[in-house]
Amino acid sequence: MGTCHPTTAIDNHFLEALDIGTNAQWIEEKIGILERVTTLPLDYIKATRNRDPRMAKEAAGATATDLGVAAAEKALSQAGVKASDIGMVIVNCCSPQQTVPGEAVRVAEGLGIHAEAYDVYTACPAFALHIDFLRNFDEAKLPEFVLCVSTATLTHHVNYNDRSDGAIWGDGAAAWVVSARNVGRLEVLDSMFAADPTRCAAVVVDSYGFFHQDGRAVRDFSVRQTVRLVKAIEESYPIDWNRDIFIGHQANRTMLEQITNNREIPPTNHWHNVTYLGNQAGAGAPASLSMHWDDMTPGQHIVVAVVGAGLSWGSIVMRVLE
Amino acid sequence: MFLLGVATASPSVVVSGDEPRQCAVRNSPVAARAGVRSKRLSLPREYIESTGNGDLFEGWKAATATPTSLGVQAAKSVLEQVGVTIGQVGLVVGDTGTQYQTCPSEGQRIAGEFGVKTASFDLVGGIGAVPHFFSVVSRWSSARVPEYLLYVSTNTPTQQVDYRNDAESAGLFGDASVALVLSKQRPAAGRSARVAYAAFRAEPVRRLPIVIERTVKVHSAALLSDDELKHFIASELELLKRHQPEILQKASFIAPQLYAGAAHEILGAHGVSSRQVVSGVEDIGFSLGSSHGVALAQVWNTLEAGEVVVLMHCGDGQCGSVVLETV
Repeated sequence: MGTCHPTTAIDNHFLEALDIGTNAQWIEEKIGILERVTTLPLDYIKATRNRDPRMAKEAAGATATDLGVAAAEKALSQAGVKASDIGMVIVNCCSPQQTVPGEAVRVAEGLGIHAEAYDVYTACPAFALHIDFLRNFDEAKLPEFVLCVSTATLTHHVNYNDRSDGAIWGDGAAAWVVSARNVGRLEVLDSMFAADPTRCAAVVVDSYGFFHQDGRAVRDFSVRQTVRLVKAIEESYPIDWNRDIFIGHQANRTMLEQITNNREIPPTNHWHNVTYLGNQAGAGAPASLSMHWDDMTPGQHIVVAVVGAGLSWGSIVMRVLE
Repeated sequence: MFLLGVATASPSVVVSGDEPRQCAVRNSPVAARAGVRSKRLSLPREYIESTGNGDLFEGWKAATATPTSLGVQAAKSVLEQVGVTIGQVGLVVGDTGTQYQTCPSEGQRIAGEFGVKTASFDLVGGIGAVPHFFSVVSRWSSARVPEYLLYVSTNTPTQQVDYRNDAESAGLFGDASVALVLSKQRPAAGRSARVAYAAFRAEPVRRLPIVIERTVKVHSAALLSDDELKHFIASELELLKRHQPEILQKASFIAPQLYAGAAHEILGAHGVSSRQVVSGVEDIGFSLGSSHGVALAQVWNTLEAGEVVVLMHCGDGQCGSVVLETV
């Protein structure tokens, strides 16, 4: 696995200084995020508040593709796999610079990969979708190595005059290499993906405009659905929260704490990165796992439960191998 | 997986090859190679002629259809055609390159319009979306797929054409959607087809002939030359003949739709008769990934058991063919 995050941090005091009716204490108490990272220059946000998101592209120091390529390079390096060994690239991106060709084509091109490349897309629960999607294949018909990438630059779509949206989003990418034939450190035991599209208008990113959401409804859904996913896994697998690890959708820390409190998951066994990176859409959960790669111990279960736009949700149960 | 039905939808505005008037649509070599005779537009003709569609957001306001509304229309038609209700569908897969919103996915927007709580996501295969989709599902394990799957590829590229200044795009593009219903079970009655062969490979050089970033652009330098198109088709036919020696005589051919007109002549030189070649762009215009499906829909109702349809694709980094065989 690999990740890439920009180095420019937006702290809560910066948002407070924008004078948009929020303050650092309120943000910390409400969503538990202290910093989020962005590919936009702080001077640009301060001067424009990104009132015209079309200008974000000109101002940004990197695109979602750049982040995805950098994360993928790290994943390939960690897996000991060359770009030429990759037989399929699938990518999830909710902030593409271009809608044609697909993001996967740009990422593959950036990596010099000459292989099947296409987008498999649902926004935030992409980690579960990609794993579940690949499990649909007859294993013999999958190439030896598949590269999965989830990348997002949602700060380009934030209206920084909105006190809530500006506090949530960060930019980032995560990548992971999957094989049906070569044993790695993690074995996928189970996965699922589902959706309730009747509520798809609850989270929207306009192609050349802003992000919008029905915040309260999405928050309630996220907590309830994640708890349901975790409970279902607890009923099917011998999960011991003193040994096993939970990773949720990195929407905000207070929401994650509601979930871990409900399932009595100790803070040491809850891996997250939202506090200092913000909500990186579909990249957040896999990035959390990647950032804790060296902390995994053999025999542990890694339980991923992710939710988001669509509305959609999914889960993965993995086991750490020797 | 068995294909049970195919249906399309396109806007009602029809313009001839060199229309809309007062716009830069004449002498478009790209449209000529594609063999576009007329186009379907989701923008009113008067709107294009008076504004040239210079402002994407104004174009979207003026449009008579969205990718989602066209997709829903095609989906309703195909469900009716195959006698399956949306409630029986266990997975909705979407594809578009002209979305108004990058989130949620097109599959979720379409499923949402039906009011169903069904798993849905997008599988975006670019200008070869339909053959690529067949190549993907042909590799799926039937144990993992639902009883019925709805796939919709829907595109409204004309809404992103700069009609005043871009003759190539103005002459080439049209709007359409295609919907397919697949099942893991062979139906007891009615027409169905299975993927008998699917072989895609990486293009030696990744070509991105169409790019959409607010406006749609044709990158002429990334198009296949006539020689390259001839070479591609000849190579594919050799591979297909190994799969089925009589394929040149018995199959219907859906060539790479961006070059459908030119490919028609090349196929003819290989002994494929004109009635075997099907175009999804001639009367609709090039609708990105939907075009192969538009062509497939034209022959679907005429197919007899044992007949085959070949879908060829080259672009966005992949090339290859899919063979559908009716059962």
